Amino acid sequence: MSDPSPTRRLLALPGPRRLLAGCAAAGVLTWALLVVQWALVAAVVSRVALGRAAPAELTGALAGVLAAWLARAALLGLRDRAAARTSARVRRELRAALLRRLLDLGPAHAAGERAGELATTVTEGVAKLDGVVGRLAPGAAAAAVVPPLVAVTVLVLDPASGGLLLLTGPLLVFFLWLTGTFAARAARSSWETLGRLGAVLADTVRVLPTLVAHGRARGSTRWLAGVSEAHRAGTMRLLRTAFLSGFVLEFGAVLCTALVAVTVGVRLFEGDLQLERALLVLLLTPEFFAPLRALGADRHASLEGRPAAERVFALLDTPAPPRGTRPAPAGVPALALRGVTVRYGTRTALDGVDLDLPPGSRTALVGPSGAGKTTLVRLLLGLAQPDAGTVLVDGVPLAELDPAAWRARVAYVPERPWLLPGTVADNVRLGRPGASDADVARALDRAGLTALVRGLPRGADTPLGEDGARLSGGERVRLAIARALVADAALLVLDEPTGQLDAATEQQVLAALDELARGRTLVTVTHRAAPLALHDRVVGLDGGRLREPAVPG
Amino acid sequence: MREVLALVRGPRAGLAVVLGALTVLAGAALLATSGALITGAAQRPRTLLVLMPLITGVRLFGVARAALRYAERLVTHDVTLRAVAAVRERVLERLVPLAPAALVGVRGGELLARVRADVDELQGVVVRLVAPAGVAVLAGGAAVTLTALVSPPTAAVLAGLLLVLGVAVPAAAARAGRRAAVAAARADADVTADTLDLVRGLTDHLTADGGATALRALDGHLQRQEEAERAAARLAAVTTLCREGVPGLGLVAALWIVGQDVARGDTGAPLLAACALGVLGAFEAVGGLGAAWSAAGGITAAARRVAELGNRRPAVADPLDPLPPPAGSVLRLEDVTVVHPGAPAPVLAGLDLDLPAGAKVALTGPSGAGKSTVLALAARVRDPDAGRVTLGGTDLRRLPLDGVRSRVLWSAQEPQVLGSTLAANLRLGRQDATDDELRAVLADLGLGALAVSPGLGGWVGEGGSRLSAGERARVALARVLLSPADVLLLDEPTAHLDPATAERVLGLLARDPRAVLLVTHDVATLDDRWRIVGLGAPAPLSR
Repeated sequence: MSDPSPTRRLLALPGPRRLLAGCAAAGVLTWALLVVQWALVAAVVSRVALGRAAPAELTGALAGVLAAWLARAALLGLRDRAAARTSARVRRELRAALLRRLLDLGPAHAAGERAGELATTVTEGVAKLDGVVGRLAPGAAAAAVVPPLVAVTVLVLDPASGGLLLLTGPLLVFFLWLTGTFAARAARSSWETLGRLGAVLADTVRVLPTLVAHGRARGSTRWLAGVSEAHRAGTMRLLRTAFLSGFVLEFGAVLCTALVAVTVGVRLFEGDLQLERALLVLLLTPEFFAPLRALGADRHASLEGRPAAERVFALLDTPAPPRGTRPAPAGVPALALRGVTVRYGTRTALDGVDLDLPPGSRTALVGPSGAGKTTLVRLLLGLAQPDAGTVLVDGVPLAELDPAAWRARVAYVPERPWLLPGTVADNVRLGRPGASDADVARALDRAGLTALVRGLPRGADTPLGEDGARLSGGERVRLAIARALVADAALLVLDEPTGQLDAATEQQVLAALDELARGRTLVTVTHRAAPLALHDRVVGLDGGRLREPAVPG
Repeated sequence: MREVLALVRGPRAGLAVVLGALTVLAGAALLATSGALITGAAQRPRTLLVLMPLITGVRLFGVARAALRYAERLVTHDVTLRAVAAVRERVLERLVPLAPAALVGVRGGELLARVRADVDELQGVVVRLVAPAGVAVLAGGAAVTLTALVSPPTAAVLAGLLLVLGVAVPAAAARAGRRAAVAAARADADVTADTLDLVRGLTDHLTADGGATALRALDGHLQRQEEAERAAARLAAVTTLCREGVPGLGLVAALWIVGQDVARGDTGAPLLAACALGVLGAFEAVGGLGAAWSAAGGITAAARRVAELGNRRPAVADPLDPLPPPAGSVLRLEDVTVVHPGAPAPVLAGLDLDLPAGAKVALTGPSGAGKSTVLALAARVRDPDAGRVTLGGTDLRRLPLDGVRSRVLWSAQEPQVLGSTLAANLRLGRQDATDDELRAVLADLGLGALAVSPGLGGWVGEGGSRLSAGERARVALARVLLSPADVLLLDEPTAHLDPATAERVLGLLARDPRAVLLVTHDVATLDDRWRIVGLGAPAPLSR
């Protein structure tokens, strides 16, 4: 299977495809208006220059020039607007599709350092596609339609000049492609150099506290100056060749115009040609090159857009696991892992794990980091699928259940819960969107947050700011517990719920958790001794295998 | 504006503008001479020699135009790179006295993010602002003057239309677009925030409501983003209409005015085509002004903010009459009080703390109790609001800053690793450390494997991204251990380490002959070699 280039694939989407067709049609119209406009100009100049006609006698022709000119300007304006609108729509749809795909793929796909990269793809990556849809597409359509039509027109008017255009045009495009591929590579690496220089400054500034502490800040200024100068010299060397493609295009275009002017001029002198026709040929010649030059100037848009489009489509093409359809069982189900194996590339995270979690049981998972605890948690939450073996819910494979229905029956409290930028109540209601104010207040009370909420300026309706910047670690965890309380979950999964807390806060949180776990199945990942008291058994995990039973705390 | 010009002063920037203007004029001259040549030839002069100057002109301007454009692009980029380097140096020079106090914590992060954005913005100062403005004035002025030699009324029309296209249209567009730009920026920020919220909190969202709430917020913001872009597109279409349409007005006006002169016989016929086409070519002079107009606000504001960095008062400064360095290294906090601006209660009130030579002290207490503030005072990152800090009996404020920092070493909570080689990172601690010394300290910290791969000369990734969090923390510790300082101040040195490694590191620090003052959450891991000092409860969250 050969993949089409990502830029092409982007332009083959329905919106951009319609845009390209519209722009091509606009190109034909542009050509017609150009011919009318320049023919009238040539007629006016010829009649004034040779016939000594006064412009007042030519108002009709002059009005025609103006009308054709303004119509063409309006056409370009409309074309640009259509391109911008199509680009905005495509980017909106891609962003929505990308984020839905991320939700389908689950946290295993977005773990760790990849999270930032994925967010950048959705925001900055998609933004870069504007250059492809909004600028490159109309430019490419114009460059494909207008120059051939102009060349044919000139060929009809004056075969010698037309032949010159038909000869130099393709030659120029070929040469442009030749230097372009080479120069584009050079240009890209030069902008990468500039980007790296930016990173060097950002990096130096970031570690400035350490540099100052070690007494090395003054040296870093000198060092940065040296790096900047070296980068400048290197970049300039590259640009000398990178700008050659622009030079070739410009040189070819002006040289061709000059050649047409001189040869036509000489033939006029010899009386082989009419002034009006000669002028029209001269005026049309630059229009042959104008769209090609505009396209050359927008090349960087496609260069920038290409890797972005590649990342966007790579994410959209990542297959999501199939979604089950069966409803989740009512009540507190029995959970069982049977021969469950999970691999990440060559690494085996879980290796043939068998584990029973009866209804209402309380199990603590312990083990060194990398033992597979997080993977096991993801399996239970329905956020990842085993590569071999099954997770059973009341005897039914979890993969066959509707994931949304199952997630409505589970609650999760991590070490550092993620908080919405909304209010305290919004964050609680995330557990069950339909929860009433009274439900929210009760959950906050049972999580031990009543005093905190009373102290806030607008109570439960106080905005928390981005990621709950106003809350301490213990308060965050208790807010997540309130979220879980309101959710009416059958399975409760805790990941180091007291990892960031001091001893006094830990005791308060554990009391709230004990309350929360009543009548549910509880699974807790922990390193610490204190939470173990909540559980009726401790299961050890090491190297992806169970090590049961470890000594209870 | 003064701050902007200060960045690009010098003959190179002038050369870039002159070359840009000559490029525009060569293009206009090519069109004008071509028109003149053809009309002149059509009048069938007696000999071709009459046309030779025009033929030469056409060839000359054609070649010159391409060569000038190439030279202009090279010079513009050279000037840009020089300006960028100058901006970076200036920013760094201004930040050094402010560091570390102004650069740590949330406020420090905001300052750094803004400085970074400002420096990026200033990269466009030549290409996007100075060069287009200079070219417009120079080439536009020259074109109007040359036209005036043939037909003063045409020159007047040209000048008026250049002003319309270069000043009136962009100004009106900027005015009309201000609200759309604000809406677009807000929508972009909202979509970015939604995306980060969804990606970082993916597990929380999925387990809470399958992401429904987050997607609802996102779809609303995406719609507003599209609406803002559609508003901008409407405005851009009007701008395109003006940009493409106004030159047509100039052409028709030139044909009308000069045509009358030609019909009357006052002006030679070749000048009609020359003037009409020259006027058309002259509009290229203001081609970059539209973009310059919209870039001007951001660039000027960024230049002003960078200049203002120099006016910020550093948290600590060198004394005017420094005392000689003290003989002893006993560090003592005497009755110190620190009040954070706007806080209801002091974070430290009348604290006394003694750190004799070789002492091992661990500070503990709930977050907000002022543990990190104690380290900041001891390293003179900031000064106490009352009381004093002494080193060997001398007030830190009477000692040169470099002197304090060579004796007292402070290590930030987040390990800071430079995007460079492993050796360069370690030698920040002591420049003349030998490779063997570096390997020894790595081995002590259980990092012997790093000396093999990536190796001392190996790249550690941007911000140390090729190292794990625990390795980064220990690289920072290795630097501290290598340092020649007498007093080591460490903020949560074991936070990123597993229990076995933490114990190993604490053992190394306990055996070190120098005084160590560290902040920790985890008192249980400390043995009896450490004196534990507890700090009080924090001020309550709600005011």
